[in-house]
Amino acid sequence: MAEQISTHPGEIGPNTTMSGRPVETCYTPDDIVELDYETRLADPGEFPFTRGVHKEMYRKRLWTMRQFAGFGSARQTNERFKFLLERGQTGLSTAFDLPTLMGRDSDDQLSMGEVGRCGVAVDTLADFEMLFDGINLGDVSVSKTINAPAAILLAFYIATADKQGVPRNQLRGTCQNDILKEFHAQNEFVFPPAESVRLVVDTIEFCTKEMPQYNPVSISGYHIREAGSTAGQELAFTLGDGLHYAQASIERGLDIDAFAPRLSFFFNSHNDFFEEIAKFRAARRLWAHYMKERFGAQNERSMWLRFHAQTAGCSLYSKQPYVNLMRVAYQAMAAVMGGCQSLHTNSMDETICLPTEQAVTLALRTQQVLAYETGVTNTVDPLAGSYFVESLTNQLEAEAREYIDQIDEMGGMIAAIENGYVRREIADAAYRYSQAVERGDKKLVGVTDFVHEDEKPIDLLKIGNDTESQVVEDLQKVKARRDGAAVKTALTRITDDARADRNVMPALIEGAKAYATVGEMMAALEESLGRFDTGQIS
Amino acid sequence: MQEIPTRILLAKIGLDGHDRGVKVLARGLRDAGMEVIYTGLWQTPASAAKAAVEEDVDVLGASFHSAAHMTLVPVLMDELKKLGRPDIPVAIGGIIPPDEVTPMKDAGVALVFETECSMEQIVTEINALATQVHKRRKTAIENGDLDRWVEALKEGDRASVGRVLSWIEDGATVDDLARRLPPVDSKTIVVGMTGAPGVGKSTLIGRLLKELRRRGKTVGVVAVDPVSPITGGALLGDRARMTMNAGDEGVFLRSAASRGELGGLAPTTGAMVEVLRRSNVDVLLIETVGAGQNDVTVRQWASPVVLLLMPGAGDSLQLEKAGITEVADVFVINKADLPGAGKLEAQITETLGSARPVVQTVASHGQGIEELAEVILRHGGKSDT
Repeated sequence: MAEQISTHPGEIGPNTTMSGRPVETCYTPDDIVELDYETRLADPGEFPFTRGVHKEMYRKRLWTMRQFAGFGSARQTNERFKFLLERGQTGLSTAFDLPTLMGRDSDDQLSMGEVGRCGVAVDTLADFEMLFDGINLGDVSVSKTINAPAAILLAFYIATADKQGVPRNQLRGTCQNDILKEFHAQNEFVFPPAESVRLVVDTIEFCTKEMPQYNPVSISGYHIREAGSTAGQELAFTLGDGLHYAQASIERGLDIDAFAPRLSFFFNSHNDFFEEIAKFRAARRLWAHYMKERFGAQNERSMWLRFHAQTAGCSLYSKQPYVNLMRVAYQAMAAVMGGCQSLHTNSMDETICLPTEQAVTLALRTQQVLAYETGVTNTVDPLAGSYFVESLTNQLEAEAREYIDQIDEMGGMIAAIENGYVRREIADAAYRYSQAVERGDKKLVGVTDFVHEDEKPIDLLKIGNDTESQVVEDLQKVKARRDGAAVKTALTRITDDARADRNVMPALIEGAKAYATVGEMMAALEESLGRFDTGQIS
Repeated sequence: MQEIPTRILLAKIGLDGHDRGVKVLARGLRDAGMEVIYTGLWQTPASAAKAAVEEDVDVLGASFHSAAHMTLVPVLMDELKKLGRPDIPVAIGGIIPPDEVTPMKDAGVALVFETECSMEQIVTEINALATQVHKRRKTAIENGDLDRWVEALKEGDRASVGRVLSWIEDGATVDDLARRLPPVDSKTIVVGMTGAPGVGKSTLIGRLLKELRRRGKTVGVVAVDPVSPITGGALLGDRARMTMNAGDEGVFLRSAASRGELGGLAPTTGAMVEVLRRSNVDVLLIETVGAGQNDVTVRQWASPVVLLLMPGAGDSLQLEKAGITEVADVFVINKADLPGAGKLEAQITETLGSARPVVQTVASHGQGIEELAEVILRHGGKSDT
């Protein structure tokens, strides 16, 4: 048996996957002797859903091609949204700037230089009204990439819909709202881990009751992988986070089958083709088993692991940037062969700047070629039964289980965060990979090898510096004309509800409608929830 | 390898949390023999400049991934100037578009590293830069600048304190010190903080700092970390664990590598304490490597000596051995929310008597910190008279 499982992945060498998993020259039936079709694979649409959550997959419906967008002021992003909708896109995906992601206002001292740079700047409901001006929220599904202040931005979204007269039960879309991976990887956390999860559960509870078509959480491995984890770690820590949210929601008194069908996932699709496909297949099998066995889910939809994939941003280089097109294409193919429900393909220039229109168009075309020309969509899970892919799927499943067991033994995910375990594992893996590249065991085309010096630069998109002052000025205008007493009342209610363990969503919606800022509402929450010092896990 | 190890500060300035690059780099530079100080996330240009000046690093390295460098780097340069150290070279890396390399160099950045740079190239260029800095420092001292820096100590001038500390780290002898340093006239309470790795020293000190500042005390910290016996490099992470007061004017923090010393201290720790006492801080905290039994040396300068323990870490055995437990003035049981805290406290009083205070803390949640500050200030005040 080629099965070699270690929670701590080995040294990365020439004959290993990029995660350090040894690969044999040739795989045979001996490598999958224990693979029982009915129990381990089953037909697509059947438990444990290794082969896919739907019977017909892409024959019936292609994945959603969803490109992430947002920059500058709400007005600028609104124009981009309308442009995308006119081109036939039915879903929107919103990128917020760093101050918004960190729950700070545009005029905060720490926001300097970051306003509107990596996404759209949002301070108050006025920005959301502008962002969706002329776009009916009952007609489009909107995805929001936001975490620490997710409950506040969700409140903005609901308040905007209320003002448009769109019933809440018609709202569709997804909020990323996965705070645990921020502690593992992306570092956009504000409140301490347990208190942060409580906010996530508030949104799950609220959406379960009032917004049945909305996905309140997108449990994300993408950022964990970007931070340098292995494929197995990405799988394990993401599912571990999902298990934690499920457990916390059950402890709140929610029925697993009431909320679990709306949990969705977000994975990275990286360079190592077969390992990535195996990762997606293992993810489905694991989640189905955990939901059924750990939580007693009855509804099949609770057991479905539906996921969005994004090609690996960290695999792109600014040297010979056209080569990135090929990297993205192979990564996208792995996501599709792994059965993703939606996909973002990175633009070739994304390692240097926000994408130009030409670059983003090529990225979209990459998905269209995959969907309409390559034929990979004709049959479901085409690599099932491959000795190699099935063996890898088994190995990844076993590795993830071992990690999850280890985290359970530590006392759960919060304990594993607080004692620094998850971050250490990821940082160790990132350094191992970097050393493998330095040694030449892993080659990078155009970077470590096949370098040529006379490169022509490509066109880059620049965001002007005048956005920041304009956004700050707009914020001051809103502050000047709002009802200060109503803001104060709402902020006090937010603090009180957070302290009294009441669901904070109604208070946040009230705050949104009073035009309280993101920063003010974060401060009101912080008063009750506290702030997490990054030093505790550095 | 460098004659004097290269000291570099790695900073993440702004709200951007992309720290994979900076963490890989920190390890790579350590493994190449450098002393690497990492600030942790979310620094302002002012707090990063302050850190570089206090640490008197050879190079300030900053990593940017969110396009904020064009705004933040010029501010960083201004802050270095304000602190009297525009000479500290700045290197930047992360995502710097090719057409922004020249504007960054025009703004005064010494080195710009693109994403694809190899570790080898970064190491070579940083070391070359550091060699120039070391030469400049030597010349400045030969030209008599040291007297000016020593003179400015008592005003607590950050840049001067940082520079005098480097002079010591570069190997000033005890005689040099005695000849150069003025007599002490401050009432600094010197606190030794020691304990085995993993008991939470840095986190506790971070909290204690905050509490002492709340009480209006100015605080100095010398945090000693071990060097690798193989490469001579070190990753000095204490700053990252004490971020809460990073930009605070009333705090001076210096990280020191133990440069070959086996015990919990650097060969120069004693001399550094002497320098910082002359800069008139109210409280000086010395954090030691925490080798446990070897740390009795800290007694020479510190009173009180605070020994950190935690429940369930084989402490009863530790308590029975001679050494640090005999010289400790205060015992802290950190992570007191873990089972066994009460039992450990009972063991301490049983084995060592009840004359010395025992404080239970949960540093990660700030519990017991007020009491600890109280005990330390009371003890320090007492030994002073």
